[in-house]
Amino acid sequence: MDPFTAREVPETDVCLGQVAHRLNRLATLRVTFRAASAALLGASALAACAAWLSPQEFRLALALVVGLVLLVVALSLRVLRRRWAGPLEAAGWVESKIPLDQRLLTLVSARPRDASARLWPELVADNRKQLGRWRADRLGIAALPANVLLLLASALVAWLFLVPWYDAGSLPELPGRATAPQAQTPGGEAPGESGPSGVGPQSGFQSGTRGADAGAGPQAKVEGAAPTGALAELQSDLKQNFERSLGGSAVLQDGSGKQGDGAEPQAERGAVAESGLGKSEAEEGGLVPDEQLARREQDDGSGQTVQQEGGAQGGSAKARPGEGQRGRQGEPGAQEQKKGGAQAGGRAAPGGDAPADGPMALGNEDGLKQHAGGAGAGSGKATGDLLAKKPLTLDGGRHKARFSLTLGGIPGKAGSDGPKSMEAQPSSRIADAGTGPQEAARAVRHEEIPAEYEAVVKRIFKREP
Amino acid sequence: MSGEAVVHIGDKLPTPAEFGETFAHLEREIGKVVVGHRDALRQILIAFFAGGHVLIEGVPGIGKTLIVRSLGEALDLTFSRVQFTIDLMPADITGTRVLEESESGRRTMTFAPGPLFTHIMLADEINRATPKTQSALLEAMAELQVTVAGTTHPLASPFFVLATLNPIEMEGTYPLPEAQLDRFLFKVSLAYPGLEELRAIVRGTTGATHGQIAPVFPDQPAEHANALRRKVREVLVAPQVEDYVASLVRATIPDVTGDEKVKSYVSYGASPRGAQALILGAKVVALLAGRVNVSFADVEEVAVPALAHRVVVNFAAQSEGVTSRAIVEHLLEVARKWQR
Repeated sequence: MDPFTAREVPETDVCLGQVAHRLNRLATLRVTFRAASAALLGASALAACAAWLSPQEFRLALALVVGLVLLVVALSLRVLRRRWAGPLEAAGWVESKIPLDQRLLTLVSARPRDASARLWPELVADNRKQLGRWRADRLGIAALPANVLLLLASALVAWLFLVPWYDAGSLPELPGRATAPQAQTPGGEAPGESGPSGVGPQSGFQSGTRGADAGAGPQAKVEGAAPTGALAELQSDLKQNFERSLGGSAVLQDGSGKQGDGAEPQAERGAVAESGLGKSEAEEGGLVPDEQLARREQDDGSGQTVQQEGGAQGGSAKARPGEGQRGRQGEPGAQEQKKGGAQAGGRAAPGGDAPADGPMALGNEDGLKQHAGGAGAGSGKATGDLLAKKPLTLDGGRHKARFSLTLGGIPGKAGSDGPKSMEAQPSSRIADAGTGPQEAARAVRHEEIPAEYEAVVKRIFKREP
Repeated sequence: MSGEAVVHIGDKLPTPAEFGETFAHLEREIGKVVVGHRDALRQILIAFFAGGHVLIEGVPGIGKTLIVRSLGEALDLTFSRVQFTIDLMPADITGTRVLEESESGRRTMTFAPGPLFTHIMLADEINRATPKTQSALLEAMAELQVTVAGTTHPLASPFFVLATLNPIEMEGTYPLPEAQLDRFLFKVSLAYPGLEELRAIVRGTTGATHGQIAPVFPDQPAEHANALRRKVREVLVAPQVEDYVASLVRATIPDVTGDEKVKSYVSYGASPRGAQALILGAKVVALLAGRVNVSFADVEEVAVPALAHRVVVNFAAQSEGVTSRAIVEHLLEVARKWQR
């Protein structure tokens, strides 16, 4: 007996309760799956963003994604609340599935005065007759909502983009991949720099490609080494997972190629670097115009000063073979190259303090430059093999820099051999990369010399009156 | 027609199955005489058991009078027919007081009941009578009583009026105003018979023998009819169905509806009597289906005869050939989404 309606229809009520329970369970699952799908997709999108966006942009993206996920959850909960099925709603649902001509609806929604109607027993009996048509087990209420497919798809995407596919330490030892870390070992004391994300050298210089043009080899280290705050850590973690994930690797390799995490691209770059012309190849991998400019400056065979500037910029590219060559050019000079080997983030690794080696010399045009190139040849293939072994003997190719470079030229902490080298290291000119002396020098070099000036110069050097 | 019999029958209401059997029996008996018009006949019977009155519209000679007479014979109820003309006076249908002289020579005013005092009355071509006479009839239909010279005289129960309208020859007629049309539960249109029906009519009415209608109720027909009517009132209606009916009726009112077609073509919508007609008619349909509850489909079945004559279309609709029936059918389509 229903105390509210004074109805006595226990059998029908029991079946209706079962229907309502199943409907509510299905609705709850639907909402849960939708919310979970939104969260997974949001996390995947965040991971992808983390690999591409700056910290500021990442914060914005994080807020956007979190807001969207919360919105989806809130809307889902609202829908769930609105569609929560009581006996009346369950009766309506049954009526929509099984044509009962509102028998059940009338029975459930009957008011107390209806329960005393003369035809009430007939209505109850009539509904009892119809019970076999709509028992809960005959309604075919699905065990899982249809959006379970969405959840599975979201889980697949998340697995592709969030779950690390491999460990950095378990990677096959490819020369190209090992190049960057090795380059730091020549200094020996300067461990390979890796960002706090631990992605490896590349991650620290993921921006590498971008950072290269900014001439921020050391600078990039500074940025990567300073992940302050939870957001930075979150971005770092997501980025790391994304880069190590199956889908992330595919996306990054098929994209600009700036990602140095993949073994194959690195190997290719390393091979290119060996020829001494690898910079141009590496540029296809994502070098930005400023790097092109630096190479042009190098190619024109102009003064050493220019090469030094370019080298300072190229320092950031140590993680990449091609950039490593730029670093070679960027060596301040023959004397400083010996020290700069370590400073350059290991680019000088092949040669270490030693003079220029063969592969490096390939890229140089004169003897002086050969000296300079000695430090920078670390990225070359010939040296790559050599470089590959050293880091693996240390800690699997993943090194953390213990020194940092202050962009203003203030010596940072160095490794075991660092202090000496660091002190001799020239200050970075990252800030002036685009508009500084390099630009001025280039302008001067490309300036058209008037004929009368040439005559004057000749006369001066001939010391003719 | 004793009161005891009424009580006895009233205590034992027929089951839905018995109701359906009685209804089918009536259809069969009337069908012996009336050829075709199955839907119209069903609607007339629904209105009878719902306790309403019916306005029948059809061209002359189509069988309007025959249907009504056959119904009276099948129910074995008293039947009267009044041909409405322009000179028909209210007293001609309600009755009047006449001076009677007793054997002792005492003269007294005595009420002489008119043709209204019957169970089934056919008001033929009601639109030919003056509004005064029409009003007298319609008052009796609504109140089920007649007041003459200050004395109220109740009408017989059941009281069922079937009025006919001739859609042609409108000259010299007095079309029923909307307020009076509203008194009729249903308006039923009789269409021309089909070829087979016409053959059957010719064959059945021009021979030497005619169909004989047997009474459905062997005894106490009025009590049986009233018991069936009470049974109809007992049918249960879910609040959702009531809401649906109310929404449907409100949708016909141009001032409150959101439907553009209604706003454009309707001058006046259905009154609350329209909602009552929908529910009562739907209850009969439910019983005929063997149910004791009203469904949305039951309402839909009686929507056109119950609402079409209550929806008054404007000049724009008439000029474009949009009928009130089309409006109601349109609203039924729109209202399908309200059946939740």
